[in-house]
Formats: sequence, structure tokens, C-alpha cells
Amino acid sequence: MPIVEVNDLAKTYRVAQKKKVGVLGSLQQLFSPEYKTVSAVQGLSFQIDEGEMVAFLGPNGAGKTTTLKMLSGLIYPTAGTARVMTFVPWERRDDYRRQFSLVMGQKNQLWWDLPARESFRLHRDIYGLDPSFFTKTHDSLVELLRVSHLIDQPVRELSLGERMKMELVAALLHQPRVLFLDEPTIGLDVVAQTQIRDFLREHNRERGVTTLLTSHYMRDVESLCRRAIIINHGRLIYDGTLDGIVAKFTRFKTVKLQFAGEVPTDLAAYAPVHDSRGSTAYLRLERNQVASILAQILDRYAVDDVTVDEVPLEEVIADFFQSADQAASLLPRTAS
Amino acid sequence: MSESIFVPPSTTRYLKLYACFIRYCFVRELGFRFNFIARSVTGVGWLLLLVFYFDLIFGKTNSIGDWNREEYYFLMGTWFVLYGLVETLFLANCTRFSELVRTGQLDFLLTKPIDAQFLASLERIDWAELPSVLFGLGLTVYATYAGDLPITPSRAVGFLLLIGCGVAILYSFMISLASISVWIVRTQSLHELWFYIVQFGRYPSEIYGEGGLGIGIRFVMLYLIPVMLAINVPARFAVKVIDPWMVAYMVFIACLLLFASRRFFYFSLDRYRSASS
Amino acid sequence: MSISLASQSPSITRKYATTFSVAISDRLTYRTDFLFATLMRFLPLVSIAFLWTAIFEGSGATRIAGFTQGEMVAYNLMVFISRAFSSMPGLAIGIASDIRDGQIKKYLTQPVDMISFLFVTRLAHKLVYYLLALAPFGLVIFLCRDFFPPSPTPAIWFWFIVSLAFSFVIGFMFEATIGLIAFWTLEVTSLSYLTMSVVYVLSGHMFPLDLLPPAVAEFLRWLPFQYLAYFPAKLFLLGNQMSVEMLTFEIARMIGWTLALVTLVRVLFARGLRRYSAFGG
Repeated sequence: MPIVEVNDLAKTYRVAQKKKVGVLGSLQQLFSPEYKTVSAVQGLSFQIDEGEMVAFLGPNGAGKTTTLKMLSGLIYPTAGTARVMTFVPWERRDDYRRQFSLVMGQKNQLWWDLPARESFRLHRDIYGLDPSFFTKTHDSLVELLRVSHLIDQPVRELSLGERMKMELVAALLHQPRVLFLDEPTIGLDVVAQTQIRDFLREHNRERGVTTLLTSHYMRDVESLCRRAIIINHGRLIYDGTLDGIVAKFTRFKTVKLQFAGEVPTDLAAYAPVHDSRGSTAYLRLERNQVASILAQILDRYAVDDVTVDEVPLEEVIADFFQSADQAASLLPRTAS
Repeated sequence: MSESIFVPPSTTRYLKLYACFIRYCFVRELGFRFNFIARSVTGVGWLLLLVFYFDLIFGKTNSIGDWNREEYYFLMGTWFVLYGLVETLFLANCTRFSELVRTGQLDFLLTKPIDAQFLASLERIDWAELPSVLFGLGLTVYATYAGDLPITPSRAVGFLLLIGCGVAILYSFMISLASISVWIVRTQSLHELWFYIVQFGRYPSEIYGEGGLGIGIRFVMLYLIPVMLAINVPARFAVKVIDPWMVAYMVFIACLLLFASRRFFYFSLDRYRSASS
Repeated sequence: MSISLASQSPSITRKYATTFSVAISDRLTYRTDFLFATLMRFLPLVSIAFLWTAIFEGSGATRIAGFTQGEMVAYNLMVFISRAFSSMPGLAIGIASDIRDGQIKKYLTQPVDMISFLFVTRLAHKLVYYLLALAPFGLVIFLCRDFFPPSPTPAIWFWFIVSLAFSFVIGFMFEATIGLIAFWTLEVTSLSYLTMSVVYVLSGHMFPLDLLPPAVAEFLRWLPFQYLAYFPAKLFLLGNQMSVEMLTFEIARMIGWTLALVTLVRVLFARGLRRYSAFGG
């Protein structure tokens, strides 16, 4: 039985029209505000099994954060249902709130002027944790993240990365079964990103916490998740393995040819040359033609080495969302 | 997951939590000692000034309304205690709540397995305002002795209970105002308006006289936005004669407002939209 | 400086003019609930009017500290107007934080004098404020017209307006002084809170200085603070009772204080910069 179950979830906002400039404009706005309706999420459905780590991807404004907020019970959906464990999130039952955690990379929940240790203790009392349970969890988290030397410093004196680690400790103290991570590594330096990534992997391996993760960094996604859910304009456009994204969204493969001599000048007759350096040429071939075109090339030229690669995930996703609005027209063509 | 790791919610747990807040806020203030002292001194200095001002005024007149000098000091002391308590316990929380809504930090508060109103209203204690409360208390004691005011032990107890009701009335309005920030992002002027409305209530209700405007102000401030009630009734109860129905009304309205503001607070949370970062 | 003033001044003028217009549009966009906010600040005046009525009733006198009941209420309105000219919200703290977080460097590298720049910006803000506040202020004065004595003579009107202009300069220089102290100590925020309440009393904003024992009142008239609120208000309401010598003396003292404060700010700024360059930020 899935631990997270989302069915036809939708959220529309009524947004006040763009602010008018000047005194009269704002007065007008005060008395007769104009609204427009924005659909942040439209009929989203998916399921997540216990212990899974799922990447939740999509461009800015796709509805990722809105979905996470509905699943955390912060906002109500306009339509549809969701169930996390046995709970409807937006009923905000204490039993539910004790078993999940929400971490947002850009927001801070620790007491700014106090050492993190104090915030952790407060957390213990708010969640009503048994003292020995708390100590055990606390010590192991602090050790795993290697922050024991920092917990007695006021949070405001910590670096961004250190602060994020403290946020993670706080979020995991009550050993949630479900974890929502919204851009946990945003703005951090590469070292801190790697450390947090390693920690999350390790923690998930040990505890089997079900995790839904949004991130702009493909490295996060690639190293943590095997499954991805992609949404755009509030709609699901992909739900499957991370590897499958490449298969589904690219028609191309990169082919690297190492010639015995110079790159032949008439190579372009077979396929467009993406790049060529000395005796190496890179081609982008439609995946269903790779075999036939490659056969022709190998037939005609002296080739020392051939490598066929998938286009890197990061590029695929970037390309895909750059032409996000053409996506609808692109997908049927791929299928045909 | 086993439930045994969680201590069940109870009054003691909430009390224990509140004790933590009290301690943390105090520790925090100690980190900014100079600021803390400056704010305390300014707060009390301000009240001293007000007393000094009315001391000058009572050099020129014998009474304001039907309040003589010492009775008037008692009223001022009541006002200082009442408003000082509200500032110590609730003001920082209520303005912070608007800020939490604006920045979207309220998200964290809502994911905690605890009463949201408890956390939103009580997490911060503004220790620098406490000296004002003590000053106000001192002023009522001074006025009692200097004016030989007819305070009995039972009146004193009733006075303190009514102060509690007064705090409840002011708090209810403030948390409701804070809740409005769920709809209107910039509530700064609303908070400011509230501050000015409260100022109407700190004078004896009698000064508003029998003219149309005065009667209107008195009616609104006693019954509709009962700030004047909150300040005048405890003081009158302690040192003058008062219609028992006014006391009963004050207790009733305090309970009603507490209840209504809690409903409104949760109503507004249901409409919270959570600002994205 | 080797550059002649003549070649320098047009660009400087343009620079300040740009500052000026930026500040104005800034003001217009952000003051959405301006009318509401301005009228709201007059609300305490209603209580004050009732309070003074009760005080006069209790005393049975027709004049207290030289003011009739109406004039006392009008005084409270007039100090409001004076303070609209002389109060400088955020100036001291702004200067202090510029110094603390190193923003002051931008004034050191650009050919703009910080004090003049702030003065022009502030002037722009104030002018726009008056333009917008004319309606609400006018409304309140109209509602309170019965409290006022007959309109003063043209000469008093003239000196009243002059005194408002000076109150702006004195207010600016005083706040700037507080802000510049940040070169020497970090606790300017607390200091400015403390001075706020001191100014409230000493400027006569809280009550007319005449309410104090005569010796104390006379001493306070020797300080610059009275020009921030008390002097313009009293001049407008009771100027007809002031002798020409008295008026001349007051105006001279006001100009004297203005010059003294401008000099003080210049000296503090120059010394502060020297200290800042020597020790770094």
C-alpha cells in the first residue's frame, strides 16, 4: 500500500492583479481589486511507496512547492484528494504532524540568536519526545552530519551550509516517516551540497524515510533518486525511472568517433556534425537511426573507436523545459 | 511506529514549553544587554514622563473628570500594568505573526504537532517591557498610600482578576488584527491604527462628557471596542464606586472575545496561502 | 581641490536633481494608504481636546500657563505641524548603519558629499509629504478651527514660515549628529531611542514649556530643541503677545543654533571620516 497517494489534486489561486503605480492607482486597487485566477496545480495524481526517494522536478512555477505545501497540510487544495500514511494532510492532525517533516532551503526555523542545541531541545518539547529517544536520535544525527562542534554557537554565526545541516537535524529529530525536501541545497557551496547529499543518502538507507525531493541541482537528483516525477504547468508529464527520462525525452544520442586520421570533410553527408576536434568528431543522431548511420560510417571510414552515449540528464531536462511550451507538440511526434 | 516515544499532550507539557520560551527569550536578551537596558530604561522613562506631565497638570487643576490626583495616578498605574503586560506577553508575537505570514515562515509553525495559537501568541516574551509593568504596579501602590485610597484585600484581588480580563480583551483584538494579515499583506497601518484606538481608552471615561461626539466615543470604546472598559473598570473597581453590571459585562466580554478571536484565528489559518520563499 | 567650482557645479546640480526626482517617485509609489495613515495620526488629538476640556473644568481657570482652553488644543495641533517639518524618522539610524556596514565607502569614492546628499533626499521626501499631506492637514485644521485664535498678522505669518524652515534644518542636523556618533560607538540605535523621548519633552511636543516652573522653562528656551516644535507653535498662536525685541532675539538665537549645529555636523563628519580611514570599517 502506497504511503503517499495523490489523486486529481488541483489548486487554483486568486491573485490580485499587478500593482498599479501611484497613489490613485493604489487607491483604485484598494477599493476595487482586480483578480485573476491562476492554476498552480491541475489534476495531479501519483503514488509513492514507503522508503522510496522520489525526485520532484519541473521548472520554476510548475507547482512543485504548491504540491509539497498541500502534502504538508499548509494549504488546502481546490479539488482532489491526498493521503499521506493514513492522514489527510490539511486536517493538520497532530498524529500526522508528528510523523512528517518539511525542510525548505530558503527558510529557517531555528532560533536565530540562540545555539542550535536550544532549538533542538525546544523541538523535543514541542514534539513531546521521550528524553532518551531524543538524545539517541540527536546524537546520531549530529554525528552523521559532523556538526557536534557547532551546536553551541548561535545560529546566526553559522555559514549557510552549516545552518542547513542544523535545519536537517531539527527536521529529523522526531524520526519522521515522510520527509518533504524543497530545494535543500539551494545556494550552498559544492562541498556542503555534497555533504548534505551524502547524509541524505545514508540516512535514507538507515531509516528508510520516504522522501519527496525538489532540487535545481541534477547532481542531487541523480545521486539520491531512482524515480522522478516531472510536472509542468501543474500537470504530470512524466512519472518513472530517472533513466527512463532520457529514453522518453530525447530523440538523440551522442556519438563520439575517433578516426585514424583527420576527421573526413564529407562526414556531414551522413549526419550533422555537432563538434569536431583533430581526429575526434561528435555527432547527434536520432536514436532509431544510430545503428544504420553508424554502420554506413564504419563501412566507409577508418574509425579507431566509437562511443555512443545518452545525452546528460541535466542537458535533457534543461533542453526540455526551455522548449516547455513546445513540449506538447514534441511528445506526440516522438511517439509516432 | 511505536507511540511510546511521544509524551501525550497535556497542560503540563504546554506549561513546560512556556517555561522554555520564557528562559530562551531571557537568554536572548542577555546577548544584547545594552539594547535590553536601553529599552527598559526608555520604557520606564516614558512612563515617568507621563506621570510628571500629569503632576504638572494637577498643579493647575484639582480634578480631571471625577478623578483627583491620586485616583488619577491609580488609573495611570492600571493602564501601565495592563498595557505593559500586553507588550511583554503578546505584542511582539502578534507583530511577528504578520511577519511570519508575509515571509511564509508560518509554514514551520503549522507543521508542528501543537496548538498553533499557543505557538503564535506566546513564543516570544519581551522582557524589556516587564519593568514598565512593575513601575505601573508601584504607581498604584504609591497612589493607594499617598491618597489613602479605600482598597480592601477583596478589592485588590478583584482588581488583579479584572486586569487579567483586560489583558484578555486587548489580546483578543491584537491576535485578530494579526490574523488579518493572512488576507492583507501589509498590516503595518492596521497595527498603528490599533495603537491609536487604544489611546482613547487610557483616560477616564468621564472626560468625554455629554456631547454627541463624546457619547459616541464612550459607547464605542466601552461596548464595541471595549478598550476603555478594559482600563477603566479595574481601576474604578479598586478605588471608586462601580456599577456591578459593568464588572459582569467586562468578564463576559473578555470570555466572548477570547472565544471569538480563537475562532477567527483558525478561520484565517484555513485561508493561509503560504508565500513562496 | 583643483577643480573650479564653476565647472563642477552643473554636474553636481544634476546629480542632486536626479536624487530628488527618484526620491519623489519612490514616495508616490509606496504611500498607498497615505491619507488614511495621516489622518489616523491625528486621532490622539481628539482625546487631548476632551482631556483639556476636563482639566479646564476642574481648575475653573480661563488660562493655564498662558493658554486658553482653545489655544491649548490648537497648540497640540500646531506642534504636530512643526514636527512634520523637524522630525527626521530613520535618519540617525540610517547614517549609523551606513557607517557600520561600510556603505559609507560609496560616499568616499563618489564625488558626492554624504551630508548634502542626505539633506537633499530628505528635503525631497518632506516636500512630497507636504504636498500629499496638505489635504488631510487642511481637513483637520478646518475641523479644529474653533480652537484657534484669530489669524496672526502677516509679519508673524512670515516669521512662522521662516521658523518652520529652520526647524527642518535644526531637526536634520540634530539627527545627523546622533547618527555620526556611530563613528565612535556601535550603540546608536539605543541612543536614538533615548533621544527620541528627550526631544519629545524638551521640544515642547508633549506640552507647552510654559507649563513648567518659569526657571526651567527659561533654561529650556536656551536649548535648540524648542525650535523643533514649541517656538513655531507658540509664535503662531501667541505671537501677538511677543514684543519685537523678544521676537528678534528668538530669531537670532535660532539662527545661531542652526549655524552651530551645521558646524558640529561638519566637524564630526570630517573627524569621523579621518578616523574611519585610519582604522578601516
